[in-house]
Amino acid sequence: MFGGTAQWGATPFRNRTQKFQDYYRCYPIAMMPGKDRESANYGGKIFLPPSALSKLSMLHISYPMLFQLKSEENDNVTYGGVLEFIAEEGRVYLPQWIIETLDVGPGSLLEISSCDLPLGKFVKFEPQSVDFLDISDPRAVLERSFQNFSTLTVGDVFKFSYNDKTYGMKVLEVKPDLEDKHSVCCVETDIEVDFAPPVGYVDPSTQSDSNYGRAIKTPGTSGSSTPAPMAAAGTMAQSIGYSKLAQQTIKSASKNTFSGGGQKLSGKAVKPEEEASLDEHFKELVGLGSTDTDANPQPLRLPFGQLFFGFPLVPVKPSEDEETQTEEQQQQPHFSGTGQSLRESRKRKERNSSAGAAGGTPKKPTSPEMVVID
Amino acid sequence: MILRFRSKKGTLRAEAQPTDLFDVAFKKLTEDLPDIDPATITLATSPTGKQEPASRLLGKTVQKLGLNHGDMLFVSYTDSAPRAAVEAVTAETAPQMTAAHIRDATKQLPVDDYLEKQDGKIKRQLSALQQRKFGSRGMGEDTLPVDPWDEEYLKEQKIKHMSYHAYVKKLNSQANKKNGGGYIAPLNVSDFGVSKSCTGAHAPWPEGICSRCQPSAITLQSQPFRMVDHVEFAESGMINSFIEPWRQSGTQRIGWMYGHYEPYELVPLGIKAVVEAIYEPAQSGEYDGITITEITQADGQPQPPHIATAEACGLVPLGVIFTDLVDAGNGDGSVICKRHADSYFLSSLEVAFAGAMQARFPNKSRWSPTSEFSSKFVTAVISGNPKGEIDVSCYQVSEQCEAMARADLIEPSINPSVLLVKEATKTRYVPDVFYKKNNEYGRTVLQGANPQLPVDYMLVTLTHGFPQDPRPLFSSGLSSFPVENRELIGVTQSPQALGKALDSGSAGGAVSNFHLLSYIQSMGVLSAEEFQLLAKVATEKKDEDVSRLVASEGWNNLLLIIQ
Repeated sequence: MFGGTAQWGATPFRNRTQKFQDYYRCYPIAMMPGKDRESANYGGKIFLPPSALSKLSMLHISYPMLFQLKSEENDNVTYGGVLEFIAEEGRVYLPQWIIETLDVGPGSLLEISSCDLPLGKFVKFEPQSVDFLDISDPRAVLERSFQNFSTLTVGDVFKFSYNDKTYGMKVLEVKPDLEDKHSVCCVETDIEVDFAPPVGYVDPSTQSDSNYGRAIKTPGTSGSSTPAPMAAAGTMAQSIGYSKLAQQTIKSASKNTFSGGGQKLSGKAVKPEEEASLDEHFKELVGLGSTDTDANPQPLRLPFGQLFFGFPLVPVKPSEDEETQTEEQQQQPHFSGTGQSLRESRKRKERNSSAGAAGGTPKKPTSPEMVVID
Repeated sequence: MILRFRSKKGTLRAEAQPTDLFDVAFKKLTEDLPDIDPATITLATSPTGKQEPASRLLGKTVQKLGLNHGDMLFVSYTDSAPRAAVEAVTAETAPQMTAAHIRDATKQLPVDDYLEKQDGKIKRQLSALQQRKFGSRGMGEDTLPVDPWDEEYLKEQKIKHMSYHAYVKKLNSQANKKNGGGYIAPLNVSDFGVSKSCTGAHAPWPEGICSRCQPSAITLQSQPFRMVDHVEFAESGMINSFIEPWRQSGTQRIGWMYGHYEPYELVPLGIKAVVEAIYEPAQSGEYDGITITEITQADGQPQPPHIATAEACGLVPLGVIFTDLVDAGNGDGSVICKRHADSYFLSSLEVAFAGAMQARFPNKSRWSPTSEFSSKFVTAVISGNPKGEIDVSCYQVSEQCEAMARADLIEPSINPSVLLVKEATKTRYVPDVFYKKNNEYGRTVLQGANPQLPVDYMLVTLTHGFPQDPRPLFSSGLSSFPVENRELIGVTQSPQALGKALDSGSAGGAVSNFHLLSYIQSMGVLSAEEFQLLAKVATEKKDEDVSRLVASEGWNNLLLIIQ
């Protein structure tokens, strides 16, 4: 009835006979002997030793088998399912992103215990790069990759692969959100998904759409003069490969001539530098005179008779009118006010800048400005 | 052995065997002198010797003629036509092509002729004080009538560019006042291509080049004048109807503007383009661009009907108009202002497009050495203004830009406020291009295009407006007949729609719609004269024309089809 190996560290509130708990040293899947298991690296399931299987079968474990993975070094916790019981004894093999999430190195000690997670109802993701927006059918891609996952935990940054490219995805929020777990089971359940703007995506300040053909425009509210929801946002930008042309320009200007990966002795992966957001650099190119940039913009060669309007949007600066400014400021009461300065001479200037084109969409709350003590 | 022929042109060597007929060598000579009639060629053995007509020597062997290896024969001939005239098309020596002749012979638009007759000087209203001082027709310093090109006056009136005729008059007053007898064409047409007809001692481009035929460095400046000053839309509903496809589908739209020109009173010697109709060509619009399939897929297609329709109605192509609208998402119909001083007004792609269109529709001018100067073609953009309202802006591209586009020197870039100067190749000579810029020290310097060029130098802005008292040429109203090429929003032109339109209203009024006329033209049922008559009915609405039309065969065929 009881497992042969020692089971230390169980808390007094849990019945040992009903729960599996053990310690293992964790290793990345890449280090697993045998053939390459790249696809397993992009999943959420781990490899346990066969002894774990025998232990588990003797306990009453509810299916699907879900485990809490807790690092002994730093108390980071995450959750996962199991793929196969073929690991060597005393070892557990984890996908790379779990190792990163737990912030441990190969060979460090993990406490693995079985647990129960509620079925997930809602999850909010944050893609870790704007490349995610290039996927034409994110729903299908995610459904496919989630077959490899059993759990979704808040704070996880899991990686999945699609079309030979890896995409990072951070879990921001799950429902139901249990106090101690912040994780849900995503097996055989319908989950509502929401996306936050990807990391590195700069929202063109007040507007909700970008002119490159990436964001899908939200339908305008009712009103006879607003256009119908556009199924083909920015199609010409895509068909002429505008963003690629722009990236070539930026690459030629960027100082990253020495790019490439690197290796760390600790075994952790070196994160490649995120490509600078397209919008930031490119907006600089638009609107400036020609010679202020180093990069020479690529020519735009379209057949005669084709006109393209999808250049990056430079919002118009509000007029110098005092009235309109104060009006806008009244609409945005957040984070304004005076600050204290140790120097008597300088006054704090109002930092509320460009509210963008007329129409005055209320701005999303921004993070508080840093307080500078002069 | 080798025989030598020395002529005015140079020395030619010809190979021939002693036993060959002389014809062999002679053939080579005639090939070298293609413009010369062989019957006039005479040959002599010494420069001053007796010239024998070549025909006498043909048919004999070289040996028989007593010619040895290396012998020189001196050739003379009479020119059939002066070669200089054949080569030089724009030579000023040729009598038909003098500037003065062009000035007298070129046919301009009626509005141009009308404006030229006026002197354009602006009479100033004298204040009461000035009247007392100078009398009612005072000609003191402050009250002298102002020239239409006077910069101070234009600045005062907030007119950004002087009108074309003011410019011509200014140049004429400077260039031609002293020459009592001679006349120099005041307008200078920029030509940045290599002069093909350079008569220097070199092979024509691209084999050879000299400093006379290569174009000099170009200094871009903003154009001080503009060919058209104002654009007036005959009725404001026209713009509303043009925006309708965007409202319903969210895709952009482009149209050709047709109308006529009239003098514009608010600018001295100004011209306004009065838009009577906007024809929407076959196009594929998207959220962020337009492809004019009428142009891009033009091969093999029949000529689109608007050209013939406009001609029949006495209208000329005035320009192009397109939308660049993005809803601001506020639900109140406001649009994003994309085009403003900090971004761009007309993107480099549109500037290149406008340059090419302007080159297609040149302006006839008496004062230009080539009888054409720049163009009156206008580019209008419907976009958001800084207040978020839908507004129209009208531009033209400068004459220098047209010349650069013709010489294939520039191309658009992905940065809309920058044009790129193309690189020189074997077949394209690219001169240096300079423009003035205020550098970081605040000084105005000449900056070379490296290869970027700011687009602002190429643009000229026009004003636009709507008449207080609209009297459009096409009076049947904008909704009387569906507009062409609007299938994407479910609007189609069909014989049924035509029948419906004809039933409503009186005969003359019912057909007075440009889109209806184009549709009938595209049906091809009416003959050319009948269509001309129909257009006359639509524009002039005279009863006798109506009765003639109704009696015509083509019209009755048309009615049959509609039933």
